[in-house]
Amino acid sequence: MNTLDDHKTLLTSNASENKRLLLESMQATDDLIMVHSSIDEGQSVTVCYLAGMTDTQRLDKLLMLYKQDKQLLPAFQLEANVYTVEDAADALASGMSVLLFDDAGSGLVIDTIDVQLRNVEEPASEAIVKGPRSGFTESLQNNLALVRYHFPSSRLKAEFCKVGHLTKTNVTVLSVGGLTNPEILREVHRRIEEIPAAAILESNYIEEWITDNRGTMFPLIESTERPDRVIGALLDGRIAILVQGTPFALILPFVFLQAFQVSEDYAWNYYIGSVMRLIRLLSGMIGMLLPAFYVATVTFHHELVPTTLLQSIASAKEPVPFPAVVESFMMMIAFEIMREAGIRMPKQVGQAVSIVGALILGQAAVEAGIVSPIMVIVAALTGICTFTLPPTAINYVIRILQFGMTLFASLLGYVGIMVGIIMLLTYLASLRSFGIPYLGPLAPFHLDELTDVIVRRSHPNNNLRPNLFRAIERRRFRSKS
Amino acid sequence: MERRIIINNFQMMSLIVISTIGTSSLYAPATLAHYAERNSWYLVLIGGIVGFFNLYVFLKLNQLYPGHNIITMSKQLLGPWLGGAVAFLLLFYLMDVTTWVLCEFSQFFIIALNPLIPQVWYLIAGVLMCAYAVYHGLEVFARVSEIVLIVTVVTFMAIYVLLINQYHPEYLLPVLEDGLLKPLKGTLLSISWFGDLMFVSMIMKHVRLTKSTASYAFGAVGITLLLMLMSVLSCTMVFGGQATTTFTYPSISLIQNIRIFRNIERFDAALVVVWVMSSFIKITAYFWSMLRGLTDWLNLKRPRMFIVPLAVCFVVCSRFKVWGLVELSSFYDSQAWYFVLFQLLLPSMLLGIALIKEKMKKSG
Repeated sequence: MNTLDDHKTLLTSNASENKRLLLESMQATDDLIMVHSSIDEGQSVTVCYLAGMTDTQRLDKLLMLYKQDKQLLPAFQLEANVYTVEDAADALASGMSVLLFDDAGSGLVIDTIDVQLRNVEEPASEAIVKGPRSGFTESLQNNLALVRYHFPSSRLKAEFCKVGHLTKTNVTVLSVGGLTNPEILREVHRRIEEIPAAAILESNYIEEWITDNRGTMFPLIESTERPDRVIGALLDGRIAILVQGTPFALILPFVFLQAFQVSEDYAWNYYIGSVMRLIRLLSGMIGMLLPAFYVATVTFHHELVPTTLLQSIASAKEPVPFPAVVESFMMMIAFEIMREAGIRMPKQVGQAVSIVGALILGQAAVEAGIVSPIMVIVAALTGICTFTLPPTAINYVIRILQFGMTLFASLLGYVGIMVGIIMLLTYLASLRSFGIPYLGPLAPFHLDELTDVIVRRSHPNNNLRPNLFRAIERRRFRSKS
Repeated sequence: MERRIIINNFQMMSLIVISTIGTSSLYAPATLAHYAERNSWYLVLIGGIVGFFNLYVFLKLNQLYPGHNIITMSKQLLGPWLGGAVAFLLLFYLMDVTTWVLCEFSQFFIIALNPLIPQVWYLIAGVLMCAYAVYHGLEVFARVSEIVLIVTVVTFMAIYVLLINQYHPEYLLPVLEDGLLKPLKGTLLSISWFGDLMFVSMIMKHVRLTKSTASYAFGAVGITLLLMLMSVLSCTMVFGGQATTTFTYPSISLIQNIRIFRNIERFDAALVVVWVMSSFIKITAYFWSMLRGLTDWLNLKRPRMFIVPLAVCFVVCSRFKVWGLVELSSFYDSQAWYFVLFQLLLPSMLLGIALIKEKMKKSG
C-alpha cells in the first residue's frame, strides 16, 4: 500500500481496489453510492456520492457534458483533482461527488451539493426598524455572497481556511485591503491556524479559542447576524470571520462601548441615533445598578431619600418579612427564570406564562406580603432596561453583574456599589481584544473618537475612522474645500 | 524580563491631579481657615507655588537619572549602604502614607455617611479594590484614572456651579488685612498637601516622555491649584471664614446646601462617588509605588506575592493608627513637617547631591 507522509493512502489504478479503500475509509456507510460507468471507449469511471446530499440531476448533466467535451468540466465548479483516498473521502463527506478514474490513480471532485437550508430572513435576534433587513443563514457561500452584494468592492478580501480536524469546518476571514491593519490580520490567521479543536460547530467555538483572555466573562469578540453590521465593521478597519453552519459572524477587535451600538443608529438622523445610543447606555447602567441602589438606599441610606418618598417606601415594605437584599434576589431570580422560560417555551403557551408571571410575581406576591410593590417596580424596570441592549454577550454579563452589585450594596451601601464599580472598571481596563484596550476610547481617553461611540456623528462629519482599530487609511473621504 | 510598562502624559496628569485634589479638597477648607480664616486662598496659592517647585525636584531628578525611580536613584547616588538606608526611609514613608490615606478613606464614611458599619469593613473594602488594581499594574489603574479624573472634575465643577446663587463675595473682604506674612503659619500644611507627589518619582520612568511631558505635569499641579482654590473660595463665600472652621468636611456641608427645583436635595451620594474614586487612585498609586520600591530595594523576583501580605498589613496599621478623624487631622495639622520632610526636603537633598556630583564630574 502506498502511503504518504501523514498516513494518507494513494489511490490505486485498480477500480475495485479503489472502491474497497474508499468504502473502508468511509466506515462502510450505507448512504455512499458508487456507480461504475464508462465514459469513453476504453475509459471507465466510478461515480461516488452520498445519497440525499447530492443533486443527482445536476450530476447527470455534468457527466453528459463531460462525455462530450473533457475541457468543459472546469467551467462547472470543478473543485480539484484528488490523489488520496482520505481526500476523496473528505470531499464526499462535505457533499461533493467524486469521479474515480480507473487506471489513472486520481479522482475528480465536482460540486454537486444540494442541502435544503433556510432562506435569507430578517435576523430574529437583532430586529431593527430601519435599515437593511437581510440576515445571515447557515450557508457560508450565501453569507459571503450577502456581504459581497452589500459591499461590492474589489478591495474586499476573503481568505478561506478549514478548522477542526474532525469537522473540517470552512471558515472565511474577511478584511479590506489597504484599510485593515495587516498585523492584526496576521495575528488572527496565526491564532486560527493554531486551533487544535476537533469540531467547530458554531462561531463561539472559534471565539473561545482565539480570544485574548480565556478566563473572562466579557465578550472580547463581537458576534452578529447582520451583514450590514459586518460591513460597517470592515469599513472601520476591523476583521470579520464567517463560519460555515452558523448565521453568526464574528467581528474583532471589539471594545466594550460598542456593545451599546446598533447598526440602525446609522440609518436614522444622527440626533435620533445619538439619543438612542445614550438611552441604551443609560439603561445598561440602570440594568446593572438599580437593584443595588435600591437595596443600599433601603438598608443603609434612609436619610438620603426625601421624607415623603421614604414614608411610602417604608409603609410598602412594612408587611414584608425579608430584608431588602433577599427580596431583591428573589425578584431578580424570578425574572431571570421567566425570561429563560420565555425563550424556551413553545409559542402556544407563551400567553400562559406571561399571565402567570404577571399575576404571581406582580400582584399576588405583593398582596401576600412577600415582596414590596417598589421592589416589583425595580425588578421590572431593571429587566426592561436590559432588553434595550443588542443581544451580545454583554447583555447577559450585565444581568449577572446585577447580582454581584446587589451583594456589594447589601454589605456596604453606596460605598459597596462604588467599590464594585471601581473593581469592574479596573477589570475592564485590564482586558484587551487583539491588543486593543477594551475600555477604549474612554480609557485611554480620546474625545474625538468618543463622539462617534457614545453618540454618533453625522456622516459628513465622520471623516476620520476610529484610530482605535489601527486602520491604515484614516480618512473615509476626501473632503471638498 | 517583564514587558515594559508605559503610560502616557494624560494618564500621568490624571494620577497627579486626583491624588492631590480628591482627598484633600474635602476638608482642606476647614483646616486652612483655621489659620487664615477668609484669607485661606492665599495659603493655597503659596502651597501651590511650592508644589510646582516640589514637582520640579522630582522631574529634575528623573531627568538626571532616566530609567530610575527614587529608590534606585538613592542607592546609586549614595552607595548601597547609605543609599539603602535612605531608600528604606522612603519606602517606610510610602507605606505610611498608604495607611494614612486608607485611614482617611474609612473615617470619611464613618463620619459623613454611616457610623453603624465598623471601620474595619470599610478598610477591607478599600484595600480589596486597591490590591486588585495593584495586581493588574500601573497601566490598568492609570487607564482607570482617566475616567476618574473626568468624573471628579465634572462633579466638583457641578457643585461649585450649582451653588452660584449662594455666594457672598463680600465675605472675602477685607483682603489680607494682616499683611502678607501673618497667615503664613499654615503654609507647611498647605505645602504638605500639594507635595503629595512622592509616587511621581516612582511612575516617572514609565511615562512615555515627549516634549510636553513636563507641561502636562505642571499643568496637573495647575489644575489641582485651581480646584483647591475654588473649593476654598466657595466655602469661604458660602459660610464665611469663621464658620468654615467649625465643619469637619466643609465640602459636604456645601453640597447639603444645594437645592434644585425646591425639593431635590441631598447630593451627598455624589461625594461618595468622588471620594471612593479618588481615594482609590491615591491609595493604589502609593500602594503600587510601595510595592515597586520594595521590589527594587530587595530585588524581588515575584512582587505579586507581596500584595496580599502588604494589604493585610495596611488594614491592621490603618485600624490602629489613630482612633478617629480628630486625631488624624490634628496629626496632619501639627506634624505637617513630617510629610514635608519626606516629600520635599529629602528629594531636594538628593537632587542637591546629584547636582553637586554632576558638577564635580564636569570640573574634575
